[in-house]
Amino acid sequence: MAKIKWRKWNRATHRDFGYFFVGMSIIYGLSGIALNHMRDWNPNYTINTREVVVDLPANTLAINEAQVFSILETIGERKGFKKYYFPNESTLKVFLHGGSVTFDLTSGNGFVEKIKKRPVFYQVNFLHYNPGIWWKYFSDIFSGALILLAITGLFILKGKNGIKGRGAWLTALGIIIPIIFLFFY
Amino acid sequence: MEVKMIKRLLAMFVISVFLVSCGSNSGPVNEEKVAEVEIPVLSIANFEDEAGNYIGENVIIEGTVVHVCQHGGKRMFLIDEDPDVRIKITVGNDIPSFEVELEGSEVVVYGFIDELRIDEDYLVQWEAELAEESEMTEEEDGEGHQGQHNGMGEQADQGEHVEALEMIKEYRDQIAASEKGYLSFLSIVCNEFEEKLDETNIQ
Repeated sequence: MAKIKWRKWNRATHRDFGYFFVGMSIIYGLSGIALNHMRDWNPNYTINTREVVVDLPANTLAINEAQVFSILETIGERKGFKKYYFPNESTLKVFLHGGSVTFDLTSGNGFVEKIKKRPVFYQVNFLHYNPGIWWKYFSDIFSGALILLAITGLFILKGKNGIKGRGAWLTALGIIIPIIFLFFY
Repeated sequence: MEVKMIKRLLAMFVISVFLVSCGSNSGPVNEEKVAEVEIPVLSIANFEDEAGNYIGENVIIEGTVVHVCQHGGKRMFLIDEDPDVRIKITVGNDIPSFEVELEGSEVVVYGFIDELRIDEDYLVQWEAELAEESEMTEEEDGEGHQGQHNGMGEQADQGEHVEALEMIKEYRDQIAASEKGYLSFLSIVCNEFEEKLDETNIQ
């Protein structure tokens, strides 16, 4: 009976799954970093803000659409107008395409907020948040493949750099570190 | 030769039974579907009075989006004429997220009414969650939803942008004042939505 060349199959599996899932590894790697730091930044949008001061009509609560247009004209935001409303008696909020302006009706101070999708990060985060059933299946396959890649990776090399030498130490270290974190948390 | 013939006949029989069964079912199924489409249309102004009658049921509601959660877009808030009446809309299984660009847009939402009951146990659990969280980090998030992007706080967030501990205190006072012993928050889980394009506003 011919001996099964398992090392050859192991290498081929590791190689081909590795090639096939390069894109997925980058998607989940990037979005993983982005979402890990959600408290430090907004991974989906870039938000630019600036303060403005405008002259408001005497009766601020009777401001109409034409007056909103002329207020926006003075700050160069007329073109983006979408809708306006009064969240409370002292605030006027104007929605723009790609942002908003909030005016303090007592002082005329305004706060312009412009929002843009962060390129690449928005898209990878969108996928990370699991946008649909087919993506869920595909990412499940990817997760299974990661386990397979990890196991086949252990047996790629023979000798002192393989799993019986250097590989054993590094593998053990990589398992011990998460266990240490578990003890601390 | 005979065996081949029998196999072919058998295959044709199976296919024809399958086709006949599909064909004969199509009529009644369509009729059932037509009969099912009776979804109540709720108004934001009357939501508080009406929504309680439709918990777990499909409804349609229309309004202006005044806020979309920028971190993940898992919820948005709608208003009508009165800015104090805000309806919370959360994403359903078929919608990955709401885009921030929806702010200021008129939307029609198709979804079902969901009830969140907040009682003393809920608040105690929420406090424990916050205590655990503050042990891990002292930082606030940049949007003013302090401690509300996880678990109990996220569910309870009604879009007021009030700090979590302050909100817990407020809810506790409201529960004490209520006869039922709990607070009931109704929101809509969105299965589908349409953005109404107002061409007059697009310059």
